[in-house]
Amino acid sequence: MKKLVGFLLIGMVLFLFTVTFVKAQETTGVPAQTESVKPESGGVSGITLAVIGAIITIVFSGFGASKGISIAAAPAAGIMSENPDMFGKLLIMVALPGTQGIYGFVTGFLVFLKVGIIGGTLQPVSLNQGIQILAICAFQSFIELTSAIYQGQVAAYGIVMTGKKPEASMKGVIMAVLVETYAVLGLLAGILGIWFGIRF
Amino acid sequence: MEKYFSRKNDLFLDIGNLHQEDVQYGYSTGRLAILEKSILDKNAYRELIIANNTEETLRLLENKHGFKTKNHNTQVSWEDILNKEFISVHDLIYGLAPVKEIFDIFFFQYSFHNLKVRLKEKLAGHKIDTPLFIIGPVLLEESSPVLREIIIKIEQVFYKERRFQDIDCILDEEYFNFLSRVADKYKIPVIESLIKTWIDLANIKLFFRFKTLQRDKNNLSRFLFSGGNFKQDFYINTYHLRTDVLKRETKNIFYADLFLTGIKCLENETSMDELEKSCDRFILQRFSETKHIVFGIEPMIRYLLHKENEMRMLRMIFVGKENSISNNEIEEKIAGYYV
Repeated sequence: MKKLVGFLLIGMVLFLFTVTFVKAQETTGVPAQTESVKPESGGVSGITLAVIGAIITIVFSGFGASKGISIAAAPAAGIMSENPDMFGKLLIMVALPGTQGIYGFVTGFLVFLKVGIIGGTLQPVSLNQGIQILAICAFQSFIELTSAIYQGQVAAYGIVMTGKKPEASMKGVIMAVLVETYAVLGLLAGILGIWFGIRF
Repeated sequence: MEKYFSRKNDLFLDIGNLHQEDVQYGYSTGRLAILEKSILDKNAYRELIIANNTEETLRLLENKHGFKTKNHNTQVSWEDILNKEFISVHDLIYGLAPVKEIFDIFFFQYSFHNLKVRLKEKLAGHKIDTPLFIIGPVLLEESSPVLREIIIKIEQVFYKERRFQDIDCILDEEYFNFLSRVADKYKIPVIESLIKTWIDLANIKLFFRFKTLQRDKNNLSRFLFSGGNFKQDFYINTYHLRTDVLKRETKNIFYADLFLTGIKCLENETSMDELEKSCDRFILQRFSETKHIVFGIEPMIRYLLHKENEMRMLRMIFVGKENSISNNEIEEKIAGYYV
């Protein structure tokens, strides 16, 4: 847990550092980024921040999803080595943590779409808008990462329960789906924030 | 190996309060969850007991519980069946364990038993009618320097007073030293706690055995093992207490039930069998409470202990059947081992 707190603190410091750096650029007369897509002389552009945000969401959500799946897959493999017929019942629980990776990808894709990297012309993303997109992406990736790992854990408990009592498999699925709720809420917040919250 | 069990946190597993090494037990937990279902329960034992004879019991074991009782269509003796079953459990556990040495602690007892028998035979100069176990870590080969030291120590003590009891005493102490060494090496809390509990249980049994025999307190201090949760002083200071005072003094400690059982045996002047059973059941009960643990060593330990218990109970049933002991008596005998 200490490491997690450290991880969060470092993230927050980096985030504040970026904001301060950008603000300082604006106040010291370094070319303002409000209307331009590219910075005129070095510095960070809004679109760069948006792209970093998209990548963070895709990478961290994908990492959490794969970790969650690996946690759930271990007991499932153990059960299937003794009883291969259980595959159908266990597959859902093993696959559930994988959805977070898809949610992260959806948000990342949405960012690319919004700023015009995919399917259109590049939008004039201001620095503030870039920071906003980065913040939304960072917080969503955190939700997807943590929920995928926790979901993997809950799914593993459900899997072992199913191994002992196959008739209880749906209970295991429902428990794992409860964790999914918060990953979906994270995705929803991400979509609403990026698609409807930010206007160019 | 060292790296594996240094209990380093993985940054991302830490989010779920998991340790990397515990996650590696996920596979074994899943596999044992299925195998645990085939461990015999109370009803199964009852069925085996009411079978008319050994052959019928064997048939039940084969048909209902999947034991292999025949070798190329030839009936095998129940002893061989139980031995084979236990070897298969031993192989399964070692096959699943990410670090095999940790599980040596569960099989050292067999190696030390064999060593005791061999040493007693050597020192007595004739064969002793005690069967040897066919499993156990091979760490105790006579070529090992640690073992050579122990043997020299035993021979020195034995030739002084010629008491076989001393062999047991030294080897029991060395056995716990071996266990503690493994615990110190890997620093797994559950293993450390288990070994401490084993030492405590051994001391409690010694305490009551000495009280039954009304032996001297100073003698007790010579035999008590160190390294448990309770220091040796605890047993020495409470040794002289009357049973009612002892009951009062120990009613709030962790092993209160065991002390109560021991005191009852003392008061009723019965054998300490009941205490022995309670001690065996104590560890099993503690591990039965770990059913919710998926990521960790506990499910493997639980399975192993349950299988050991199963073998013990089956042995009692077969011995009872062979000696024409009544079904009720057999049931009474094994009742103390149900968990």
